[in-house]
Amino acid sequence: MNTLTPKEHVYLEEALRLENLCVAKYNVYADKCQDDDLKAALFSMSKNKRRNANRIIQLLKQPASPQYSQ
Amino acid sequence: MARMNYSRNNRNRLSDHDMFLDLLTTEKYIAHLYNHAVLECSGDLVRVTFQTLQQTTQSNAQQLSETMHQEGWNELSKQQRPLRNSLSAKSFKKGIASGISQTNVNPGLNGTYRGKSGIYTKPPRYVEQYNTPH
Repeated sequence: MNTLTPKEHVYLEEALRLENLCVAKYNVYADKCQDDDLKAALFSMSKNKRRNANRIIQLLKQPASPQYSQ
Repeated sequence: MARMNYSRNNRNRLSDHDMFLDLLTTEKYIAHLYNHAVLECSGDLVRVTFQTLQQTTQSNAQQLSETMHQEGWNELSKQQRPLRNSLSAKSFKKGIASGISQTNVNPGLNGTYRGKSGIYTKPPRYVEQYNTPH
């Protein structure tokens, strides 16, 4: 069973926070974008970021390493 | 001054250019984070995941950058191109003016050339241009 060290946990949480911010930005900007091609490109990239965020969430579900847990 | 170039339409409204610039900056920041994470993580699974995330981030940034270039928003690249051309043209002219020839860039063993900054397998471009018969 894979476990996470505290450092990995901090990195993953930070990454998740930023990926979520990025998804929000992509969606808001895609809505505001005036060019239809650009809008489609932004939505497509937003999906990539959402996939990234889900991947990070899956990793964060792993338990912390026993040697670091209290 | 530069800000006015980015948001021409309205003071309180982001232009498409502004949005792409912000997204590119965010992607760059995330790429930095992933780079650190890959170097510092000890678990294989986490490291491989961060590497994959890094690749996705880089491809997104590349797509943003290409779109900006196609739309003509990449003003830095526009400015760099003539500068590069003018620099190479200047160095070429300087080479001719100072009588540069094959003796200045020494051909070494096995077809290598030794210049000021290292050993090359091909002669520098200006030497080729200079030695090309007209």
